[in-house]
Amino acid sequence: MGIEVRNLSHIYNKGTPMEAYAVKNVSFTLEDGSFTALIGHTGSGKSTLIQHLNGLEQPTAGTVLYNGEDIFGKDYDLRGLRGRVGLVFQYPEYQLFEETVLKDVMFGPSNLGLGEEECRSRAEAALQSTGLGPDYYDRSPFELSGGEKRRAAIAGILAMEPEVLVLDEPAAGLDPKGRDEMLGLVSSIHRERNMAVLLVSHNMEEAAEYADRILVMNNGELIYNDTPKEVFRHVKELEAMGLSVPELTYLMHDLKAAGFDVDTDITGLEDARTEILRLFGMTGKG
Amino acid sequence: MNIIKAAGVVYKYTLRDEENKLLETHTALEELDLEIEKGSFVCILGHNGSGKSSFARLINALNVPDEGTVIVSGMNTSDPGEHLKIRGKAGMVFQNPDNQIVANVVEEDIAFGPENLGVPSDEILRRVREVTERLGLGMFRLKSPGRLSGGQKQRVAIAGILAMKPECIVLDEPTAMLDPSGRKYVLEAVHELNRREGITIILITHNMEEAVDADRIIVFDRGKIAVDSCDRPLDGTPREIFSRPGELKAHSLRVPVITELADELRKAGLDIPGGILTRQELEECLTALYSAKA
Repeated sequence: MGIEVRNLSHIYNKGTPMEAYAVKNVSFTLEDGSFTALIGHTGSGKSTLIQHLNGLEQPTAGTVLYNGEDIFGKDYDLRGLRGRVGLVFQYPEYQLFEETVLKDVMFGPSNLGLGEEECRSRAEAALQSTGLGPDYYDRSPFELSGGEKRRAAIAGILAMEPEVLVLDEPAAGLDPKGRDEMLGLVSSIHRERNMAVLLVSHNMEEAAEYADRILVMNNGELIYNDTPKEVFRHVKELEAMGLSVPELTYLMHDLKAAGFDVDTDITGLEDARTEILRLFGMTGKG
Repeated sequence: MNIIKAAGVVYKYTLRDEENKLLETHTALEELDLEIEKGSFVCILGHNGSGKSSFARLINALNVPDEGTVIVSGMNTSDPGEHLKIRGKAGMVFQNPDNQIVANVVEEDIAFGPENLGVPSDEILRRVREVTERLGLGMFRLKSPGRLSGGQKQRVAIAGILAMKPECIVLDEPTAMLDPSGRKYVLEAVHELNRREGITIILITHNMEEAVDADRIIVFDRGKIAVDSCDRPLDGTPREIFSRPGELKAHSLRVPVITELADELRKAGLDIPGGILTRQELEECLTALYSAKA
């Protein structure tokens, strides 16, 4: 079932001369177990939109259904929902606050009203998933490196055992290795816990590599909701929205313009390699 | 001629508890020797915690070395009397555009730097007009910086530095929080300043694609210039540095994706030279190979 966003609009400063749509009549569905990327330039409404998914923001019009139920309906258990739809903000490491890593990660589940033992075992499992073993439990979160802090913060969300994980640029500011590790982590959590993931990103390569579907927002509206291949066919339109396509997709377009008969839907390294080798009558095996 | 000369620089930072008791000392830069040529465009790469940002803050005299010296445009950063002048010569742009705004109007924000340097008001006004035009911010001059996009805010930050007539601009991951178009505009702006006005640019980045157009790449590791397995420093042109993918990987970095693809094609048997950096180079190379084959 997952999350269904239905005709959702969010207007800032409604009824004043400054009135502006942050989100305008957006509808889409995040299926159980899916991996979706959300892209759009800064100010396109991505962050406002994701804050509706667990009820942190109230829509001006439209609604969000979780497993078929209206989360903005009367008597809906929003607190319970926040355990099921986990939101990882940008630079989540700034939100660590406890004395030890383990206590910090236990904070989320303890807010769900779970007993101490249950909180502890969930926290330990979550830390395990993010690659922080028992050595880390008693350390102060402030002693950790930037990448470790971020993983501890994500563990804090995972410990609530959400069914949906929404991450706002989880790899921002990390070095290339840290970036690969962070996205590898998100991808393995997605597989192992069979969670629906919504990844907000400014990196087109990242969106192409990890997501099954891409949502593109511009000026508060949802412009595309399709597979990466389909979305990245709209080179000119994406550029006009302040976005781009993956570097290798640009290369394929360049090669096509130079007279080569190549597939311009390619986004990744392996496919680009195979396609170019094919031109030269090579299989690229071995 | 060098604009920056760091010699034997050691920089440590310390963690203290609430009672000011020393918890630990961390050495961010260790015996660093580095000179940067005036007018050059230098990219500094390195994993998180390699000492890149500590170095940036030493250039701007936000930090001063514990040992050794940093000379910026002939001035020693260890002399507090020179700090204001140094900051006028070497401006700094940080990662988060929202943390660098000081005024409610773009013009005032840009005027903040020269005001601190004691530039007369009519001269400030003239400079503000000039730099806003040059960076394409003319239409935002009287707007609130808070309502600009990330890329526009970063250009306001650069404009504020330009209004101080600097010789050097240090940018510490200025595009990390920007979308593709914001990234493109900021990079175009700094390249333009380097080419047209000979301002030295020191760009710290995690994005290898941004390093391709630099004159020189320096890789940092553990507070020094990184060395490869044969003890040679990872310091050279983009083509030299990106011809050594294994060495970069050992330092948590990678090569640009086009270089990686070219390397893969060469390994598969195509006759492609090492150190391909751009789409255009790869396309020309493939076209030549194809016509030779036909």
